[in-house]
Amino acid sequence: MLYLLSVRKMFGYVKVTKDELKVREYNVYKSYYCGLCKTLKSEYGYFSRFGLNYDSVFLALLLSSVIQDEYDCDSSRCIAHPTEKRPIMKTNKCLSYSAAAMVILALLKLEDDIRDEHSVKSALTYFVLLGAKRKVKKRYGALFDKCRQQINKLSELEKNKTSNIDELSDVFAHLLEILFVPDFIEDETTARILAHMGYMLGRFIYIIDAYEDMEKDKKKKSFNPFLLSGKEPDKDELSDLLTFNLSSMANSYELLDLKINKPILNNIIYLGLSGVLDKTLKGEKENA
Amino acid sequence: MRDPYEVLGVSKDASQDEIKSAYRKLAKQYHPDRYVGNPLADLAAEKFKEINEAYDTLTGGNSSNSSNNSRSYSGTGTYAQIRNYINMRNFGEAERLLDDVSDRGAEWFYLKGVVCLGRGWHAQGINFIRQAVNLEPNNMEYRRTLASIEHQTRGYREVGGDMSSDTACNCCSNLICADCCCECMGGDLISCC
Repeated sequence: MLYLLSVRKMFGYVKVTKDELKVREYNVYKSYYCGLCKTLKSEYGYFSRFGLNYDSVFLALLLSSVIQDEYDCDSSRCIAHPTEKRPIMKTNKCLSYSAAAMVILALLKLEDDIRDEHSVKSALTYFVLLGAKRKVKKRYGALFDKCRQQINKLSELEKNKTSNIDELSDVFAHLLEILFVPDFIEDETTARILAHMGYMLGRFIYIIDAYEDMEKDKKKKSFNPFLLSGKEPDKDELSDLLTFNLSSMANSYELLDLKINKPILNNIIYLGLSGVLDKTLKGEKENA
Repeated sequence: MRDPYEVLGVSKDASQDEIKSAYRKLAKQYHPDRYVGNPLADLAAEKFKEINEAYDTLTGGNSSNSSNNSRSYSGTGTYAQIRNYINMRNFGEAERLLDDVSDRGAEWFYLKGVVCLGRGWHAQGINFIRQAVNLEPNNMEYRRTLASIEHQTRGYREVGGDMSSDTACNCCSNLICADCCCECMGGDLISCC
């Protein structure tokens, strides 16, 4: 089960800067987090909740902000916080979809590790999640296959030892682009904006993850585009590139017609992500 | 047309100054320069137009910003055709035409860069545009695009900077300022410096 926590680490970049949130906003954020955890348990079984990560909370916040205009909260205890009652967002279609997206990403990451590294730990975790897989494939079969195609493309590129960072991150970016636009988003403009945000975020996550994993991949002799290119990446150049990447995402975000959650989303997009970028480039462990 | 007060996000009894400052903030946010290389530039242009119209309605003036940025290229050359595809956000077709060009000058690098940016391939896009500027340093179009990329990056950081109340830093710099002032007046606030 510990291994599922490392899946969680791989996608843990999109989070709030807590110090700059109002207490009220932070409570709303937590209610999404708890709501998503509860949704995971009820829809995909007990074990799936160990994969809960901040990125899927962000997706739930974002989708909620464009399609609904009120909060629907319950207050109850849970296994992680047995002593106090906490506000928990009731399961709705945004939470339910974000939970599915999280399960899909976790399963694909595990499949990829089993195939590439023959990891026993991954195989065991995957086995535990087979029930969740059956459920997610039943409800989101087409989505699952589309996402798997992107992961297959990515592993093809990795096999061919591609070091072109644009080409590699493009594939992962398309994966998030797909996941960011659920069927229930009917407005075409909103769908376009969400798709672009997902795409840009995917690029950011791929590149920053590759950079952060350089040391680890060197030891394990795993694939890493920065190692393949043979020269140490120029930090200033990389910082400019990723900041432009984030600014492009932020500019698209500003075009959305948000009904709720704006301060929290602003915090994640303008402070959380740039904080992760700065810390990672400085070599401070963000997700330790 | 939407309610102009709503568009600018001000109340019905807002003063002219409030309207002006709300307008300035929004016009900065949705200015076409911020969306150079962004495939959603058309949506931003619509929003920009709406803001300008709302401002004009409320102030009875003519906003200086209402420029029409969507030019169509009527030339027959390959580059004009490529530019038209870029305007229509058909980056795939634009790229296909570009790849067929064998004589590659500054304009080729520029257009290739714009196509890459539109597709989100930022690393290559920025490099191509830099190359175009190097080849033709006096071309204003190329230089403006490069400047806009830098401007966007800075703009993003500024919003983050405005949001965070980075008091520790301000506090120190304020103290040092105060100390300098005191010393000018003959006193001292921080005795060690």
